[in-house]
Amino acid sequence: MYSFSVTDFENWRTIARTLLQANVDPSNVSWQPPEQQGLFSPSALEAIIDPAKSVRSSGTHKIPRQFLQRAKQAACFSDMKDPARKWSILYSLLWRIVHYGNGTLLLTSDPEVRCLDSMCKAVSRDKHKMKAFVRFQQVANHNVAVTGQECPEDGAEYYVAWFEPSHAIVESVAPFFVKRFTGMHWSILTPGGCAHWDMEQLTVTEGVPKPDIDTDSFDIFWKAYYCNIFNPARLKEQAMRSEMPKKYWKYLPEAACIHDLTRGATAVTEQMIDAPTTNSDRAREKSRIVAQFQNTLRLKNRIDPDTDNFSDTPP
Amino acid sequence: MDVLQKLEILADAAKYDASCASSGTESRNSLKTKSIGSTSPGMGICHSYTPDGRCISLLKILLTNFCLYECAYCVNRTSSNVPRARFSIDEVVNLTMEFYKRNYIEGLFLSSGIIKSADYTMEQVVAVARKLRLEHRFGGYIHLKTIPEASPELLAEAGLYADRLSINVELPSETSLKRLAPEKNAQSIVRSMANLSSGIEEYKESRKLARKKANKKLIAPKFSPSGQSTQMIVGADTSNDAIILRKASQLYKSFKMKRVYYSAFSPIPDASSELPLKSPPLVREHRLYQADWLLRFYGYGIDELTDVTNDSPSPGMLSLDVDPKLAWAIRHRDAFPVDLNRADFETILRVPGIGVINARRLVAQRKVAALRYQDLSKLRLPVEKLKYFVTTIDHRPKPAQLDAANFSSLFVAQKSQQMNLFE
Ligand code: SF4
Repeated sequence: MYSFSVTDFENWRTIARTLLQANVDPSNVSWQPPEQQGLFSPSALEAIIDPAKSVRSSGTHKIPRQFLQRAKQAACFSDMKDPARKWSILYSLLWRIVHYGNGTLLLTSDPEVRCLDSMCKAVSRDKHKMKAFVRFQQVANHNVAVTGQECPEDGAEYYVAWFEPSHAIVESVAPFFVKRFTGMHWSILTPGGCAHWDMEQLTVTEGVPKPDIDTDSFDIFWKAYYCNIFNPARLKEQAMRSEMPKKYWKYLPEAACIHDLTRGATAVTEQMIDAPTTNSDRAREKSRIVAQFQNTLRLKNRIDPDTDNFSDTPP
Repeated sequence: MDVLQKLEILADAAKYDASCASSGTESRNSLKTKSIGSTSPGMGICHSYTPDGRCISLLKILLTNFCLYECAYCVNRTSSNVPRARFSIDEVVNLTMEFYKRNYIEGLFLSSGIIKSADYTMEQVVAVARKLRLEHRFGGYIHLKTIPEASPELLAEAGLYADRLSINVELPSETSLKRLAPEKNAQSIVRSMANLSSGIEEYKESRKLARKKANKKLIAPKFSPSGQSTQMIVGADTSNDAIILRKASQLYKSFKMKRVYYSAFSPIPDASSELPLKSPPLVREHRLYQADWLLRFYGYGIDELTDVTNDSPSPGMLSLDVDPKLAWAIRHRDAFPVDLNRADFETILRVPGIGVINARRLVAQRKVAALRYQDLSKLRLPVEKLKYFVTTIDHRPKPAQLDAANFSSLFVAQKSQQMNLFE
């Protein structure tokens, strides 16, 4: 039985490659999370390869790119209960691909394939939500102490966001923010790692506890927009909650408005429906300019009311 | 009036437009320009959701809600008593940049009431996009609503800056448009859509050619890389679903629309005497979206989806109780059950509860091993619905069930409960 503690994807990949070359069956490997280091003695990689036994020690296996991409994605998955489970599933799948062919990944009802699938989905959803719900706050320079980053020069704009992703995705999502906010100096802080961009270079540092960030005075514009773009006659709270689960609300300044908007919606709608209607000629009667403007267009548009030739070929 | 008040008025005025999509444009980022903004060809990002379940992806506002037109369904029509406001070009540009920098939005969706003339209004809208793109080198998404009567030069410039241009068809028939939007001209709407369509096509073709000949110089000036879309209001006139869907199909076909949006006619703060208010037909709108999808990607015909029975109480309508695919299956029970191990892909696609992805999965998987009933739940298919319509090697629905006179009530009961909960 071999034992390994794995830190990240590249680390797993190196170990897995050696194990494959030495033809080590997945049932003979025990994978451990990095914290376990010291509690047991990890196997030495060099010791695994027995040149006499290993047939393919120098050859490399052809692994489908698609698997490696998904494995990399799944490697970001954090499993609170069993943090190293992903590594053993990945190795087992790798082993099966090498021995039984690429078709293994097509077995969509196979437990391991499904597990890979759901890990990838969870990570990709988490990334997507992070891109969506990270909210930058413009902060004053003194706030920089919070991020441990050097102060941008005086008067320069600096933006900071706090976010708690469910999986270890900060490094893989950071390039997205770089490409989008290239001309901005920013930091995204999370408990599992921070990304900083100074308009030249991306730096990734260790995670931090939740900092105290001042709220951004621009919030009020965003809240005003949010409240007014909502149509109370279409209230569908459940649909909102399924796309924007409550756990994200703490990042969203606009979430403070949800309660009032929702509570008042039905009454506002009923009021609108019950209110008296307004004479459609009101403005025409009051202003000759309006009447003239409209009459010119109406005259041009006059057609025989019995025919309906709204055709899609231009005349 | 300060910017905050204007924002309140001009967001409120824009909320009845259903489209807020920022998907499917070219791939852009700010690495080279050292500026702000990126887009991708894939799905746009929803940065928030309002309690109506709608995604907020763009800052959707009107430049002004002053309007000389008298469209009966519209909150901004001349006779409406709502408060009016007008943004300056810089105010819109600033709001867009500041919202974008805080990662609130993917970009801007700008439209406007018609003031002075079509060209004057369009020029203002274009000026906002021009400033964003040229002065701020803004790389995010821009959707501009175009005014059908605006000059071709303005349209060309709009296409240069915008990811998407759109013109609303508004209503499914010319008679309705005439009656409810007397200043709008159906012919010029059609003509402008045709212009947009040929501009979009030309730009696309030139890119293809440039790629083929490996010569970037052959690329025509940019023109609305994310295509065009349009919106139709549902329930303001008496057009039935078949008429609406036929209109939509025509629009997809003639102008290669990216999307036709259906917008349930919604109560507004001040209704016109020409068009009194009622609750918005949200379920109907939802069914139209479902039918639209089935028409475009599942090969259904309009007559297959809408009710064509002569003595029907609602001729030409989609069923409200069940989705159009299930409704079709209920009407065509003789085609079921479908043997998932034998049937071809197209037939499987017609089974209620099986979408394109899962149909593909089933076909791939049955090559490895014959499908069992258990496999369906492993794929997380809705077996409760499916079980009546499919056979696997270890499952076959009782023929009596499928033939029972009250068969459809099995689904209606489930559904209407759900609707009470969520609608
Ligand atoms: S033109 Fe018609 S639909 Fe457009 S804003 Fe004016 S009144 Fe509303």
